[in-house]
Amino acid sequence: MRITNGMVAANNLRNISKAENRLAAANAAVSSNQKIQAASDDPLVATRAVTYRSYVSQIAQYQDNTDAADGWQTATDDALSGLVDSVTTLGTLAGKITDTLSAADLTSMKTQVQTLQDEVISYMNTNYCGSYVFGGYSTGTAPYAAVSTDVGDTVTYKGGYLSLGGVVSADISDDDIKTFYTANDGDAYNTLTTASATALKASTVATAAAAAAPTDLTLAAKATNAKKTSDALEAAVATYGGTTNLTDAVAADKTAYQTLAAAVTTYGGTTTLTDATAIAKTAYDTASSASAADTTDTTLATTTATALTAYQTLTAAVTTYGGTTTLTDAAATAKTTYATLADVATNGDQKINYNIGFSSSVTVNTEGQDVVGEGINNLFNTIAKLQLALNGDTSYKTAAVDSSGTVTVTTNSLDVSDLKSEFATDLSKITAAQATLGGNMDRVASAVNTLSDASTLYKGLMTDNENIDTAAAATELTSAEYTYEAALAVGAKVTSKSLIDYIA
Amino acid sequence: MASTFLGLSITSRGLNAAQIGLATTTNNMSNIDTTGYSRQVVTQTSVGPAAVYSSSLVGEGVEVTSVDRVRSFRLDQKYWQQNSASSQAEATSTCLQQVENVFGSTTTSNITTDLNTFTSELSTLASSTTDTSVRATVLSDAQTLCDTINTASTTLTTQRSDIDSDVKTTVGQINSYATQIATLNKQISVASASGASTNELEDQRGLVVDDLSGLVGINVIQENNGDLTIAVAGATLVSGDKANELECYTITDATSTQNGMSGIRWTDSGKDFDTGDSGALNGYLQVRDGSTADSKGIPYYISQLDDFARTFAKAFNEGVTSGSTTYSGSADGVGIDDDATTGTRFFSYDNLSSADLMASGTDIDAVYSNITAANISVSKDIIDDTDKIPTASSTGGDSNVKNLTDLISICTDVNISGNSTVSGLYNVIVATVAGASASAQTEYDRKNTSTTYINTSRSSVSGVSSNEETTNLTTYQAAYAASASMASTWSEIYSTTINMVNTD
Repeated sequence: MRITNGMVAANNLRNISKAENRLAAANAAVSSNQKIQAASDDPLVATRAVTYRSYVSQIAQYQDNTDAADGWQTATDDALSGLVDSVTTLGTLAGKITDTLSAADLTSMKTQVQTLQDEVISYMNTNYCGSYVFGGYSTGTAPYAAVSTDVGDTVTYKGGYLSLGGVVSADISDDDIKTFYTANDGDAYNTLTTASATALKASTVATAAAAAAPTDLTLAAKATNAKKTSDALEAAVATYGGTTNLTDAVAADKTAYQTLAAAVTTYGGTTTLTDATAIAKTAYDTASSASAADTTDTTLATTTATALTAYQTLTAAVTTYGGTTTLTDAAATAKTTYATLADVATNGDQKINYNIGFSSSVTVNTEGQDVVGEGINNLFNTIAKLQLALNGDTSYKTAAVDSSGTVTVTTNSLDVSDLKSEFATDLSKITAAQATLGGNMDRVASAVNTLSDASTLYKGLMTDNENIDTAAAATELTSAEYTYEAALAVGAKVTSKSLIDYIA
Repeated sequence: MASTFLGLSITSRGLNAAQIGLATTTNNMSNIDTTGYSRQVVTQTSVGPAAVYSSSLVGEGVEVTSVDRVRSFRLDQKYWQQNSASSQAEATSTCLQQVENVFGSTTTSNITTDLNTFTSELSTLASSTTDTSVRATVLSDAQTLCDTINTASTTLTTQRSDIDSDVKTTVGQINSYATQIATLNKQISVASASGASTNELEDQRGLVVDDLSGLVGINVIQENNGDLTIAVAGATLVSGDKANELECYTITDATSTQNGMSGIRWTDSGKDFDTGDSGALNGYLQVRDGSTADSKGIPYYISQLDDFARTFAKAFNEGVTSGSTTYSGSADGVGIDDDATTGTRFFSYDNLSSADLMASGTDIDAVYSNITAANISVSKDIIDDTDKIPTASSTGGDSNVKNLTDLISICTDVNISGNSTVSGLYNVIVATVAGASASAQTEYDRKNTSTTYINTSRSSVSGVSSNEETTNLTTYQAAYAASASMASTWSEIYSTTINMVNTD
């Protein structure tokens, strides 16, 4: 092969430029600390980098969220601990009431109870960073407020009466109570009417959406479900009356369904409701006459009460399902109704969830009604009873409305000895809320560890993926420099010499 | 019996041949750096005796029959073929490196960064839903994301029209080269007919063909009369002294991806020009028009980016169902103080309002087919009133962030299309571009190595070697000196002879 000057020059130039490119790449790697300068240098590294970067940024966000969740939960936890102390004190006070207390003692106890109620309200209005923690979604305004009404003092939650027909002093006339109830029946908290209106709206929207896309099976299924829920709530309004608290209605539904289920066992599934009612009435009559004959026997009294509930439930069931329905069918229907209502009550939960990890979120808030209750059985009603008892009252009034809108006022006996156990029940509700919160706090605490591990892991992966190994890169740079210099030195020598130099 | 002056005539021939040799060597040495120059060699033969009646046969010296260029047409053909292929790879890889920069590298992937920022800001909004400054930041982050996507698409379109200008320029160059070759064909045939040397003209012509082969794949045939006939994909470009001209015209076919770009046709026949399958022109066209997965060019990447923008906007606006979970979109959410489901679409195009967006097509798919990477924007409703940024799943409650939580999931870890999350979708585009760019660069390196090798072989055959020419120089110098001393010897002989005559 002939070697020509052009070849030698081109070869030299090519080798020098190769060495120069290598030097430039090694230099860029060292100075930028990045393995690759453009995505095409290594598409795999580039796309991994995108993924790792988005992971790292998400983890940083999750860590912010865990901090926020932790603050919120700690505030809630402190409030609940304080609440436990207040309610325990209230329970102790309830146990101290005897007939021998002096008027001065009673007055000081009344003051103490009033203070404790204010304390409970202020705990329930705990504010963390501008948000009221027990307010569900309504974090902007204080959820609990003590209000004075025509029928005495009561407590509102998010602007609605916790228990509209609640505990009223026996001194208030029935008519006043009825007037107050009728006037304020739109202002009760979490009523069937509200739930029913919401369900109806949802059903209308879902039906319209399904009608717009007749082929969409998912939408059709959604519409059917929404309609079912709306119908169930309408039926509940008809059964219990619109101002009944949803939670109370769920509890009543549960009792009704359990009674019917028990009746199936007692009377046999094929018995019609009419026949079962007749048998239950006979049983009740027998029990009540036995009880009347021996007023000291508490067992007989309990049996009578149970028999009465069974009889009343069955009578109501006859109205609802028709007398010829068998017990089995009625029980099944009642169970479905209860399940639907319970779902509505659950879906009404205003849970504030924070994302604390990839596809995992934690509920940070505890809702007020899960702590102090709602409807008839709430802590403030128990406190009201205690206050009445301290006044020396032996009875209190409650009002309820039936489906026709008629308000009935019931006078209940007030037994001091029951108050202690009622406080214990209220306390157990608070401790249950504490337990749930504690579980969520544990999740946040473990998420903090998981996230810090994940952060280390992904930052490490990101660095391994994108960043140079300094030692290797420095070695490469030195070697590239050497090669480049060698190429220059040799090239300069070779191209400068030819035979012409040696011709004398 | 030889003629009296035979010696002198042989000597003059020898001097002449040596002089031609020296001149050729000097010419070669002078052209040692001339591009396209082929070294020339002297072909000389010994001249036989003029007389056939003499038994004492003495040759009559030397004669230079021709000065030829050393050239291998076979190597030329190989070079032209390989040069077309590597020029195509070079054009493709250069264009794709520009395209790749649009999508960014590891550290500058703007779209991913903006998406991460937007998502983080949404998470911040989740813990302070009513904060107008946070809402304003969410809006500006969303606008930045849209702008970045818009810019990427616009830049790609600009690059496409730049490449279209390159196509026009290239066609102009092809015409110019074809005309030059035709002219040189004519000059060479005229010169060779008159017996003149055509070496320099042929070198010039070879150089033009080299340049032409870089632009378009050519098939070159050497005719018996020395003309080069050049064809592109079977159609004659140059034949003898005639060059067929090409012209560009603007394609106006709304259904074609080439709409608005330049088409190429033969000026005379008006038929479309088949560019064959190699050459820079082909590389440009491939990047300019490639719209399918088999032939990826700018239109393909634009449509990928359009799909990305469209899928993301649709998922964010309408929600997605991934597996068995349905995530609600912005249309299902409620902003601040809005008493109904807002139905606000967060993203739209050309800043249309949500209602105008939904009116822009007959069904959902038709509506979203209007959104492209070039026009995606935040909807007018959100721009006018950031309170409409949907956070809650239903009315009421500052801290109801069910909808926002779903939106954040849609931006992070939910598969919004097949098995891809948002960043996954974008990652696929980055990977595709980077992969195509990397393989184009590799292909260019590979083909360029072959081209360089063939060019080195050509240089080895045709290039000037200064060592060789120095050797020739000394050889011819020695020959000249020898002939010159022969001349002085003969001169002495003739003097003797003449003196013999004079002394008579």
